[in-house]
Amino acid sequence: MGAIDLHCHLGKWFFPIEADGVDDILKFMEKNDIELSVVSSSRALTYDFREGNRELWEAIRDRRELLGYLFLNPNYLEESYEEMDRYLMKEKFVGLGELYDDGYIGGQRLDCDGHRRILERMLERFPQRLVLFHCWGRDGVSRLLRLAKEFPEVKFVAGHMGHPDWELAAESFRDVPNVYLEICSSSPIRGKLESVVRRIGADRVVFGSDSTLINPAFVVGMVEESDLGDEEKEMILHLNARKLLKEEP
Amino acid sequence: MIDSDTIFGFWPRWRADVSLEALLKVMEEHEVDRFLSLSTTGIFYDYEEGNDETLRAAERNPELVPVATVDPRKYSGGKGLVRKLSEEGFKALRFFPDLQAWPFVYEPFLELLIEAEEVDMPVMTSAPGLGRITELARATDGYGVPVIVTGVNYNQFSEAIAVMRSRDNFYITTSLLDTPDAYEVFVREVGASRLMFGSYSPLRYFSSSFLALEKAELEDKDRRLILRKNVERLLWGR
Repeated sequence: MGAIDLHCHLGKWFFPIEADGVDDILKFMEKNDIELSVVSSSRALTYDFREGNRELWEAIRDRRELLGYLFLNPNYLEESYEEMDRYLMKEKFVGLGELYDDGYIGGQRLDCDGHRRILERMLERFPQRLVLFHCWGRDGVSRLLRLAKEFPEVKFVAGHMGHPDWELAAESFRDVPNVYLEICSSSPIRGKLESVVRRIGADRVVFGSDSTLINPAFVVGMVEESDLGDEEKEMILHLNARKLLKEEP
Repeated sequence: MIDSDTIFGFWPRWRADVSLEALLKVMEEHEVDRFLSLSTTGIFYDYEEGNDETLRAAERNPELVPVATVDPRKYSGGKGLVRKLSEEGFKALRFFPDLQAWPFVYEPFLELLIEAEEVDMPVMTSAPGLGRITELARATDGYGVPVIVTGVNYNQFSEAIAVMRSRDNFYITTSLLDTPDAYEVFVREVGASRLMFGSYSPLRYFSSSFLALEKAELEDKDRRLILRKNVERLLWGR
């Protein structure tokens, strides 16, 4: 069975990346034996979230290999609620993501009041329970920890698993069962996967590529090269994600 | 295959096995014929001691191509050190300003460039962060020495391409060519002759950089240049 990519993007980047269309995503998936990708819009998370979500919906609606994360901007709460109403009744959207921490959209932290209200509203009105958060460094870890404890019904995917503090992330989230560590990074430090699995268990680690920003081959290479057992690699590459996605009503 | 970017020794920044044994194991597993390497003792502690360790390792393991390092915070140039290193068998001179925190516009570094130019020894260096490759390019303008920038990632691609287009003596290693079409873009913009395969093993997973190259849509002749021939040309003139 192919891998499931829980961290993929559609759209342009402010780097010289030309392969940024939906056909490119599908090509990279085929090259790297990825059978399903959950995608969010780079336009949404760097600029105009409504236009980005619209583009994403057009891209995923008729493609069985792609599912979507809805991106919401806590600087625009009312408009974010409208986006939830517009898209979260559609089965192709499996959750929210990649929600940011002090990131491109400026100033709003991962555990800000706006994100809390968005999560509360999702729980009240919609069936989705999966949320991909950009989780970077010890600040990202501590903020996600706070949110994860407040919202135990939500399954949080910690994008980048707290890089460069992945060991801290694994230890911090070990007893917080609704957080899963997603492995993508442009810094493939040897031993990081083994170290994280040793601390939190392979059943809590999931594959993501950050494509089309990062080459999926780069991240697949981390898994292939690691000293983990075949069963653990299977869990990371697709079994855990399968469970997470199947849990969706 | 030649890996142009490896190290061995001890890694103090976090727990990591970068021993010579770990390096040799990775290189053997991936059928790497030769690899450019140096002891991390020379990065973090003392470059003379480190260079001695590198030479000893190369004597015991002929597939290891010795790369020297000098810490310009300690050596101010003018004493013929690079000539001596060249005579001892070192094939390149590598710098680590990212780990030693010195700028490129720094007279000891410029003195070392003069020494490297005198013996035609390629210079390798990290240059992380926006603007650093530009600073390196300006600092090395006028020196005929080949400059190989290590660890260039997506954040620096635009800058690297701009510098490489205007300066024929600039090359990069591929250890962090991490975007999905990085190889295709670089080969089109600056040519395959300017890229050298590198993994930064054993600190990083070898397969990350290798799979990215393996799956890139390149002509076989370009892949051969990146995997071997560019290094052979620069280091051995063949």
